[in-house]
Amino acid sequence: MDPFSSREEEVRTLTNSLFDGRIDAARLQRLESLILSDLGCLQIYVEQINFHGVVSQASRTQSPERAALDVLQGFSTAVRLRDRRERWLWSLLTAGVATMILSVTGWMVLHWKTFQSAPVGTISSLSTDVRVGSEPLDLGRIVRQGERMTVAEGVVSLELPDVIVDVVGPATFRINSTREILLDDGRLVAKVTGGNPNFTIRTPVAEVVDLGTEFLVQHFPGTGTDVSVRQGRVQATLLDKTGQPTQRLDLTDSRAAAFRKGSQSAWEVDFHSRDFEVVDRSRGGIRSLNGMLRTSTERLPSLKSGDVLTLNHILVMPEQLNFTLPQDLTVMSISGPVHLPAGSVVSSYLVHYDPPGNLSRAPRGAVTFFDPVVAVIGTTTELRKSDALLGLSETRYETENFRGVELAPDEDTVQISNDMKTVSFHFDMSPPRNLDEVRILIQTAPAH
Amino acid sequence: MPNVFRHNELFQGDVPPSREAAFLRHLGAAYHDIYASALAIVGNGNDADDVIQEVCIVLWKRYEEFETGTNFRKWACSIAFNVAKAYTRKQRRRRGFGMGEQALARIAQVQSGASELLELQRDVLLDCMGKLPEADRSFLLACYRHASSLANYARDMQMSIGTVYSKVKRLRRRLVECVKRTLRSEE
Repeated sequence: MDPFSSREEEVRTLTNSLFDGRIDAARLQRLESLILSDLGCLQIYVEQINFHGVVSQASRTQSPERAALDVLQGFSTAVRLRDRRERWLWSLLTAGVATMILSVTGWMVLHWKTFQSAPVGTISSLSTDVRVGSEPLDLGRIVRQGERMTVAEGVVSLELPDVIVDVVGPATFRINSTREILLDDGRLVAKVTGGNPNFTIRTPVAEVVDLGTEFLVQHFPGTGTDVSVRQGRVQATLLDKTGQPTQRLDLTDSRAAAFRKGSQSAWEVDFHSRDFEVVDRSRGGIRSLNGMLRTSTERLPSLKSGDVLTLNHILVMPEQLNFTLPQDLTVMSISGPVHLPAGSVVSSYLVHYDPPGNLSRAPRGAVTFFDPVVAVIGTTTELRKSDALLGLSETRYETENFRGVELAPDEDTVQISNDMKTVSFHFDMSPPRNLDEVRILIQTAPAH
Repeated sequence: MPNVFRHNELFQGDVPPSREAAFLRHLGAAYHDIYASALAIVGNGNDADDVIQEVCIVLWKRYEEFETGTNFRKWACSIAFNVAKAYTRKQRRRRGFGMGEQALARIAQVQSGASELLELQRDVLLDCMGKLPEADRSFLLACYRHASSLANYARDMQMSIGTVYSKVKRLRRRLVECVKRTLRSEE
């Protein structure tokens, strides 16, 4: 049964239009006549407009006290200006200042590049499904201090000095500096890789200071902030309505805590490693991507020829992460045989390129890992042999002979950098079967 | 003597509570209701944001008239109604249409008389929002946050404005149903 009577529906619809600023004279008149002729309609109008007030207030990340304070701070300035305006000198001063501002603004516009905020990092990885705001995002794009970004969907990774930050859409955040991000809404995972002490993620409810670790912060204005530490240690602090610290929790490996604005409280909760899954699935131990490489946020059930087409990119997907070899393993890498003794900790990544037949130019790209590459498996036979041990059990792989790469100067090229951390690709197309795959093996230091 | 609001004093913990601090405490505690009162009269979200600034200025200017120990919320809301009505009159003259005095008076009457019910509905609505799927909740809140430039936001999200409005409409309806259902079950 429809829970709304037609008259109630009409009042709610008209009220929504009024709130949204989309009402015309005739419809406003209709709303007014309903309100005046029927007390029930008046009650519904008041309820519905209050509904908008509540959602509108909830949509702002600040507390009512903070909002009031902001209004008053603006007001304080306004009052001072008004007082001064009464003096005749003020007019003269305003004119002078205005002229100066105009001149300076004009000059700054002409020299805008010089005045842009300082660069603080780069976009280091993008998933294939990424959707962002108006500014297009490309791998390697510089991100600047003070920049606000919205990620509607997918995973975007930022590389700041000694920190990788994975942003899981939908999320909105601001990069305050190389050492601080303000998270308005959504989920971030930060991996501190070196000497960036006290890297901080702030939300309206909490401040999370890293002490050498990998941790996740998610904030939703309607609920609050959650912090999970996968490895290392963070100091997480509950903030009151004016942003002052009120309670501090030290969190270490596999611990999590919730911070709530409404109740002004913080407490430990169960740690769920699955919260990190979307980032592991997408980026794993990849430090950065270049060119036309992209990650995927999904586990793909089949990678057989034609099942996952890569239109203008090369896909790189984490498979087994930090996997301890149960027995000795010898693989034929593109540079020769590689022997890995039992007990070695490895991670594997599959690079998949399967364009439709009508592409004229094959993309190039490179992937850089935190740990060294020990082998790049490129032949169909070796790929097939390693699927069971290093591939994903839920994924079906191609078994036909065209799967591997044809390494030759005029065909596919795969190169490993001197520091053994970057693999670059240029895949040629060999119609009618364009599929090319390689598997990269990374040796990870065993956990202590 | 100009009535200057020295907000900096609020952040100095070692000074005795100032008049400004007392005012801010009152204002913070009643802010939701003051905003709701202004919004009920002007009806439009962007107009309400303009009005609330004017309301705060008037409240501070007339704070001397407020008698300590009486109900600040009630006093502030009545001022908010008056400021919002004046604003609406001005807008009516400018736009050539708008709600008449009689309708505004009745809205103010119901808004102030139903404060307990509205507060209950507010709590239930926040619970219902918490039950929405994360993506829907984020989307809805983002739309309200970008209400003054929803077309730009839609473009940023690579959606048509029509799609955004119809999705918002669906979510609003779902929330209203949830509030009604919850209130019925609590009766």
